[in-house]
Amino acid sequence: MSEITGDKLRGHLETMILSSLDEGEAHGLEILRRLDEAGCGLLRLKEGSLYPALYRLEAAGFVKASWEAESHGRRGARRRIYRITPKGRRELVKGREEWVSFVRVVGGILGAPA
Amino acid sequence: MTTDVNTGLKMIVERAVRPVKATLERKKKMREEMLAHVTAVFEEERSKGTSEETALKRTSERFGHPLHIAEELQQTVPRYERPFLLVERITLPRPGEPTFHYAARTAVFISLIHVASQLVFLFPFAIAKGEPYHIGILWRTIFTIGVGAGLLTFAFILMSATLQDALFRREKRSYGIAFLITLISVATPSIIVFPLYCIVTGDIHWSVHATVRAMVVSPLIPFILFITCWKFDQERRYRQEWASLSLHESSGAHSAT
Repeated sequence: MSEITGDKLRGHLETMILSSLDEGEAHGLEILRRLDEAGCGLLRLKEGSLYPALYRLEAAGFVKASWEAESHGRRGARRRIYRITPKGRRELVKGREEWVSFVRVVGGILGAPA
Repeated sequence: MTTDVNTGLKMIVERAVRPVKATLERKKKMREEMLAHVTAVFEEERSKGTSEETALKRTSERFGHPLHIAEELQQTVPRYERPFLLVERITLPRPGEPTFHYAARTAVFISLIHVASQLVFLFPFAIAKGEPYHIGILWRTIFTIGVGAGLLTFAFILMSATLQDALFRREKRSYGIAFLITLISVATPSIIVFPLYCIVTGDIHWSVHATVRAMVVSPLIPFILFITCWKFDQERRYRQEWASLSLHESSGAHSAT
């Protein structure tokens, strides 16, 4: 199976992040690990792109973030811990429904129904 | 972790963050979070047994193209932040700018802001009342307060910069100068209030009275000055640390030893 890269992920990254945070709060690298595990190592996301997506989600009120108390030696840099909000959960449900609909319609057109 | 690695990791972050037009506070947040990320990624790569140089290169590759990330980050900056960004550009010192120049520039800006805000909020109110005598006084007040605010800003920045040097810069440290600045700062409100009141009211008695009242707050000024210059010094170090990073691909990101 071929790898799934940035262009194919466009438009779905936010929903995937929300889905990952639905498992529990996490910092950026942990979110990426969860996505990687869920995608069986086939997701090829440029890691820096995660943060703009997280900031968009935060601005929309879908996630909330707080700084961790200590940097644990990461050159004084602290991580931000993200958690999904009730509004984010509703958005996730909507995103999942849209995805099911998308797969059904495009799959039908391509002759490869889900 | 060596200094070169630290610099290399910061450069990976800075290449993506520096082009973003956002307030200093927002960029600080981005830098810290992304630095924590790339540091953890670097450690992960190192744990696979690779050299520091290879680990740094892999970290940079995993992070992605800085200009693409910068573009995406820029889109997350809300439009309402633009005026704050403009104010920051005007009121924060520029790299290598002489303190006198910076103090003068900021003082002019503060004066103009004072005059403009009074013209917008105070002047229409006085016009509505319609007494020419009061309007004459008002013009004088607006002008004087504008100049006074500018002078106060100018003096405050100069004192703050001198105190910063005297307390926090090893090569310029001088407790004698710090003490002298503290004394001057105590007298500053009185020095500024007296002539201002004289100009506005033309009454020496009232001006002396106002000056005595201003002296009540004078003991607080050194504390405000000290806190301001301590914060300014931290800010200056932070800005200098990140601004000193060269963003050219060949100069350091992959030069860890």
